[in-house]
Amino acid sequence: MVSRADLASYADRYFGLLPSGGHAQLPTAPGVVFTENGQVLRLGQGLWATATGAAGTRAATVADGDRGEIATWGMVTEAGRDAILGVHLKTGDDGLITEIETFVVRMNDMSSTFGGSGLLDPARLARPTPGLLDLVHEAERPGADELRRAADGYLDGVSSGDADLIPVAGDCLRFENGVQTVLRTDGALPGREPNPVTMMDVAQQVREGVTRHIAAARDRGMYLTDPSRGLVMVRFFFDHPGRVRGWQGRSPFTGPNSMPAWEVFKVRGGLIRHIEAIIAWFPYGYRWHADETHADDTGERW
Amino acid sequence: MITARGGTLDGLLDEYYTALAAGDPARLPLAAGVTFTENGQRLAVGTGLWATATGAADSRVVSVSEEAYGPGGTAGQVAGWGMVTEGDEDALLGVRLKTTGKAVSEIETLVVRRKPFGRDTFPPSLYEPSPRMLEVIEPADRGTREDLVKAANGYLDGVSRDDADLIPAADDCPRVENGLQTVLNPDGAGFPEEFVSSSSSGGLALGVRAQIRTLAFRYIEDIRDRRFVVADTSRGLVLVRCFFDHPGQLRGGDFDSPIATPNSMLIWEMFKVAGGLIRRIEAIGAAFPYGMRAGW
Repeated sequence: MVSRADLASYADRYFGLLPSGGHAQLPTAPGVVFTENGQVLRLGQGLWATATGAAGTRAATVADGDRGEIATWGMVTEAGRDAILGVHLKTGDDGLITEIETFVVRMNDMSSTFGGSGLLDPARLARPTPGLLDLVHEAERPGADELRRAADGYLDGVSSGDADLIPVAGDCLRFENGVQTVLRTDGALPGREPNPVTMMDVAQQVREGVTRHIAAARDRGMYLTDPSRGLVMVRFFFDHPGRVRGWQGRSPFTGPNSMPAWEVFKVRGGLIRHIEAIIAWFPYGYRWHADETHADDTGERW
Repeated sequence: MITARGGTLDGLLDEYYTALAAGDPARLPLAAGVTFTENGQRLAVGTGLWATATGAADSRVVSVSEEAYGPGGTAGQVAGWGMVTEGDEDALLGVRLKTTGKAVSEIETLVVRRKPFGRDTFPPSLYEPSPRMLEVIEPADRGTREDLVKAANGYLDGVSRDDADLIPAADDCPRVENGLQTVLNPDGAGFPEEFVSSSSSGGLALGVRAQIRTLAFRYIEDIRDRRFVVADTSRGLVLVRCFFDHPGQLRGGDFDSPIATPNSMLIWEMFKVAGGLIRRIEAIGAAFPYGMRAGW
C-alpha cells in the first residue's frame, strides 16, 4: 500500500510526464487499464499523444490513503488550447498503478457540444484552490460515511429539486470548471446576460427550480474520501433530457445530453462548505467504461 | 419487400419518422425486447430524441432495405436518413431498423445536431430525396452483396491508409457529406467561405481518389468497427456504419491536423456501386469522444 505522499507524487509525475509523452516512466503494474473520457485506450493514446503542456499545480486533489487512490485535476495544453485534465489513479498492494481513469474537458471541441459557450477559468484552475486542502479541526471532522452521505445528499437534492436533502452551508461557494456559479455579487456568469439566480446560494437555486432540467445524477462512483481535510470526490453523470415535449419547465438545452462531472465537496461540522466541479457535455446516456467490443464485421448478411 | 403488416420496409422507415414526430413509439410494431441506441448509447425507447422531437420531413434523403430468410423466419433491415425538428432546431437523423418476424427488434439512430461545416443551417439537399441513389441499375452492372461490401471496404481502406489505388471509385463519383458535396465542387458550393479557405477542405475541386493522393486525410488514424448493415444489389447500394478515429494534432507530428483534439466520428456511409465502380457516396456523421463504441 502506498502512502498519501506517494500518491501525491504519482499525480505530480503524471502531469509532469504528460507534455513529453513519457507515460512509460509511470510506475504502472502490468496490464494497467487506461481510460480517457470513459473509453478504454492504450496508454500513450488520446491526450498522451497530443498534450504539450501541463500546469505545475492543480486546483483540486483528494488522496484516499485507505484505498490507495488519488484523484486530481488541473490545466493542460493540447494543440494550443486549454483543457482540464482529471486523473484518478488506483494502486495495488505492491504500490504500482493498476488503473488510470482520466477525464478531459475540452472546450470548443467538435465532440463536446460546448460550442464556445462553455464556461472556463483556466487561471483559477492552474493553481490550488485556497483552503480546499486545509485540515479540518478534529471536532468538526466528518467520517468517511458522513462524507459519502453529504455528497449523495447534494446529488439527490439537485436532481430531485429538493433542497432539504442538501446539507449545505448558506455561504458555500461552488465553482464549475473554475467559474463561480453561486453567490455571485456581479449577478452574471462571465460573458453572459445578467441572471439573478447566480446571486443565490446553493440551496436557494434548487428551491427556485434552477436545476429542474436535471433528470438524474446517475452512475455515481469513485467516492474518494479524506476525512482529515473533510473532502470527498464523486464521479457521476447529470442527465438532461432537453426540451421534452409537453413539459412546462425550462431547460437550457434543446436536445438531450449527459454531462459527466467530477465533484469535490469539503465538509465541516456536518455541512458542505465548498464545492469544486469539472464538467463536460457528452451524448445522452453516456457511460464510463463502455464494455462493448470493437469489431469489424465480415460483410456477411446478418 | 413486404412486412408482416403488409407494408414495405421503406414504408416502415417512414412510419418511424412519423411516430417520432408525434412522440408515440406505440405506433410502431416494437418487439418486447427491442434494443434502441442513440449516438452509440443504449436508451429506453421513448427517451432521447423520442422525447424532444417536434417534427419530421416528409421524405428521406436516402434509404436502403434488405430481407433475409432464415430458420427463425423472415428478417429485414432498412436504414436511411432525413431531417427532423427538435424544439426550434433542425437535426439530421439516421435510422436503422431491424425486423424479426413481425416486429422491430433493433433501432439504431445517429442524430447530427451540430450544423455541418460551420454553416448556420443544414444544407437544403437534406430535406429532399437523392434520386440517383434510388435508381435501379442495369442487371449487367450489378454485383453481389460481397462485391458491394468489397467496394466499400476498398474505399474505407484507401481513405484510412492514404492509398487511392485501393479505392474502386469512378473519376466522376460525387460524395455528399452531411448534405454538402465534398469532392468535384470547385466553387465550394454550400460551404462557408471560412471553410473553403481552410486546410480542412481537402481540395474540394478534386475527385475522391485525387483527394487521397494529396494526403489530405492523413489525420484519419483508422476506420474501425465497420458494420455493413444493409445492402440492395438491385440498386447497387450498401450502407456501412463505422468510426473514423482522429487522434488530433499529435505532438511532434509532421503535418497539421484539421482536427485539433482527439475525437471519433460516427459515420454512416452509403455507396452506390455499378459495373464494379463506386458511382456515388452519401454520408452523415458527427464527432464523439475518442474511442467511443457504437453500442452494438
